[in-house]
Amino acid sequence: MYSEADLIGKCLKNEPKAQAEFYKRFAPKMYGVCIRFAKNKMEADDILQEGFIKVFFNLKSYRGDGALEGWVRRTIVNTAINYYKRNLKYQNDLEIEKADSMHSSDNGILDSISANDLINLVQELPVGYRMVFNLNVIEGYTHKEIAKILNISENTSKSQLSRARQSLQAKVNELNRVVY
Amino acid sequence: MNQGYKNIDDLFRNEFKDFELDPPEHVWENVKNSIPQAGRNNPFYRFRYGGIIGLSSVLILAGLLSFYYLTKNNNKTDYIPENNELRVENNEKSVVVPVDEKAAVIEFTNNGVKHKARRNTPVEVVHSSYVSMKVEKENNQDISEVAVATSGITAVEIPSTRDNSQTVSADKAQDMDDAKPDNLLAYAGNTAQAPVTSLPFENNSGEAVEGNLSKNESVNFDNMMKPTTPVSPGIKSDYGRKGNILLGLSFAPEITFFPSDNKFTNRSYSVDGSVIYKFSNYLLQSGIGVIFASDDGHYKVDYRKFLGTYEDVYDVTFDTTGGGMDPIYHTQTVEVYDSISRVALSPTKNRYTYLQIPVLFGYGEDYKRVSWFVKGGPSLAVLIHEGQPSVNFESGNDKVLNYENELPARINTNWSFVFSAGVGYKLGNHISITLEPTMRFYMKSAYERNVITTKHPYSFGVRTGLLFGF
Repeated sequence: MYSEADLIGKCLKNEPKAQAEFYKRFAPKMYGVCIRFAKNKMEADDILQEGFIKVFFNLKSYRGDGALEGWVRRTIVNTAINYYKRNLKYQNDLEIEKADSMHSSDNGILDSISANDLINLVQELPVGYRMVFNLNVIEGYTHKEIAKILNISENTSKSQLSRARQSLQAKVNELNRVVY
Repeated sequence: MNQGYKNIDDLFRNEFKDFELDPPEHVWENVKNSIPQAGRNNPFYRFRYGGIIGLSSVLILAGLLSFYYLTKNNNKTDYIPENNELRVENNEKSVVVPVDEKAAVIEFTNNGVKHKARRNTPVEVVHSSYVSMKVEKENNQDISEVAVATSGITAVEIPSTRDNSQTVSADKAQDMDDAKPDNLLAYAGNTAQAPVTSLPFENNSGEAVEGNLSKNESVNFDNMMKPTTPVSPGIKSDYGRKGNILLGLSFAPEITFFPSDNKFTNRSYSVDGSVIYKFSNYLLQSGIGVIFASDDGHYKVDYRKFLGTYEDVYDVTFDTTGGGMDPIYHTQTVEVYDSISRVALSPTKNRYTYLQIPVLFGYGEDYKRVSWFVKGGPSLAVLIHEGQPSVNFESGNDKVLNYENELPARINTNWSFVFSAGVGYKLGNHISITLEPTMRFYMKSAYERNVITTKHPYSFGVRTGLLFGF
């Protein structure tokens, strides 16, 4: 078990053992991030893979002025944003129309995880809602930042967040009714 | 599960705070194969796949060419008569005597045992019905000077001329005027004769063997003469030589174009050493070269602008030592950054070094000093080194959030097809200069990510170099 400084140093020397430990140390948490941004498990795999390749290639630019995990997380989130942008043209606009009527039902991509209902709910959101919700609520980006990142207006960002919240609230309530 | 939450945001934020999930195994496998690793940093690691195939092909080709060349060389320098088995029917005795000082070693087989006779050694063959003989050159002497003759009812004279057509087979020799039964020796240009009396041979072990050849003993006549290359004072084109090998040293600047983005081009330079085998007007070329390429690009730097600092009171205590209650403010300096992240582009240049292994086939014709040729074939490029400089961004007090090199990584191996047409100009007997416009068509994009192009890049270059002939 390397210290964080040792781990970075050895990864910068491209030592396979250190790289494996680096991945093992951060991958589960980062996969949790990816799965929130992704529509399904395959997308999450792609984002995680691309993100970690960037992490290893750009590790030399990590200056140590913040937590390493935070730096890795930012890289992964940026990768997810780029992934979203790259695939934006393939997104289905109808998703927004259907947002309010969707139910958490047969997604099942995390059926091996017991406490993942919330992940399922987020994944069921239309991709635009999901991005804004993740960036604002979970990652702490402001609407101004989100607008710039996603190339949308601030009002659109706010509006999508509001709808995402409504949709999630409704689904959570429904889930509660089923559970309790 | 969310009974205690009044706010939907808090619910998700809290649940996702430490959420972890084990990723599938294949993700790490893919990551591992895409990043540089210490064991793979040495250039030979990249030879695993295409490199091994390419290098093996070159070695096999080089081996075949060498073998062919050596064989050809022997054939060229050591004459083998059309009928190199000299048969003597019911012969009383046959004699082979090299009489000149420049003569060679005679090797023959006697009852399955190889024997050698030194130069100037009379050889007697008695009752031999099958005689063949091999004469080897010794000490690099020109064995065309060796005179060989057999006699009995058959006599063969091999003149010292290097013209194969003047060799006389045993059957024809019977008709020769100078093939007399008792003339057991003939020496070209000298017509010296020697009696045949003894047989001091060496066997395979190098021991002297005394004795005569009898019936059914044979002497090999392989490599009997060595016609030499005509001594010509004139300049001979390197490309024009038949069945020879040329070594080349070349330099080639190239410009690569990416069809899906006309604005994107890059330059590369290559240095290579090549081996060319020329047979008739055809040529086969291989070799090894190094390509130096670079990509201009930039780092995308996400940062937040530094606005200033303030003192944050994180705790207040009270000093009661004086009987009063004086507050003590514990503060820390907090840096304030703009909430809007900015993006800066920092130029960079990635450098790549490839090992190049072409196998080309071509056709050419030669004139007195000038030659032309066309050739084409596959070429394997293996990435052996890549240099990615660190970002050069003066951030000052600004907070850098993330760096990202926007340049896509290059793939490790790539096949291309090379076509070229060029001219050569001979500078001397053994050296030519060549100028060779070249087009290269890549089998796939040079980059790992298909963000730049999904079509086949192509390049144009001019290869110039020197050819050395032997």
